[in-house]
Amino acid sequence: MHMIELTTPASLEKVQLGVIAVRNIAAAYYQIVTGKVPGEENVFLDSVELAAGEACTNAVKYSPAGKAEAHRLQVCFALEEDYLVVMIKDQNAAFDFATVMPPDFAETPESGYGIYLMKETMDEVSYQRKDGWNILKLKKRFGTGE
Amino acid sequence: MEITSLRKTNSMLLSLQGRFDAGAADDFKEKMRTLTAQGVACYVIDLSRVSYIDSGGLGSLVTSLRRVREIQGDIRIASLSDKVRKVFELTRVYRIFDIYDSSESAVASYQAEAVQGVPLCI
Repeated sequence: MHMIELTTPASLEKVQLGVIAVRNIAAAYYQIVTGKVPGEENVFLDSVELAAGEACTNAVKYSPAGKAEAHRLQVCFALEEDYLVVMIKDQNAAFDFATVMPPDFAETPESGYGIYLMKETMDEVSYQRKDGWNILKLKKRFGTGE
Repeated sequence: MEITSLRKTNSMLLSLQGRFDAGAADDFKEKMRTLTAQGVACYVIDLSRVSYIDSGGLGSLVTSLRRVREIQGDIRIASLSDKVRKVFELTRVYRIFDIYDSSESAVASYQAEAVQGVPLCI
């Protein structure tokens, strides 16, 4: 069950605010689940912030040209056992998540790190297409913060 | 994100403050384009007050580095927090930059090269 849901226009400016909100909401879950107040330096929160930020930025990047503001993206939060689940949903064209390759590190590309960073910082990343929505599901286990 | 520039003897020190994300990347690239067009080629980028960097911000650093190297310049990175350093490491981007513990030591590295006769790039 989704416990919190954010909706934002698909623009980089709005996404910045959204990602700050994601960190703060994740911090609230962290405190509720672990009983600890997260400090400023917290690997769990840094990971969720980065992965969600990359997912939201990709959602804006692949919005139909010139219509990004008209499109919305949703960020939903849920708890699954000892994991925080963050789902990023957009209505862009479907994509083949399974075939997205990691960056060619030997070439140090200027872009293309987004999904790789999500996978590196999260415990699980999955994708599904449902009812016209792309849904990226990010899972991070509590207790990886210190 | 705020960008403060300070001309040093052999380099330009840019201090960034705030979130260096995809939304700030274009502003940074534009700042670099403007300075490079004015003949500045050697830069120190101080990231000590950057609270967050994503692949968009990092990509703009890579783009800018490639541009200044075309004119025999360089970008040297200073003062990474653990949070920002982790993104440099995960993406392996740290391998193409010289990274210093402080902006002072990064600025000094250009000055040392100047003393040793390495051609100045500013």
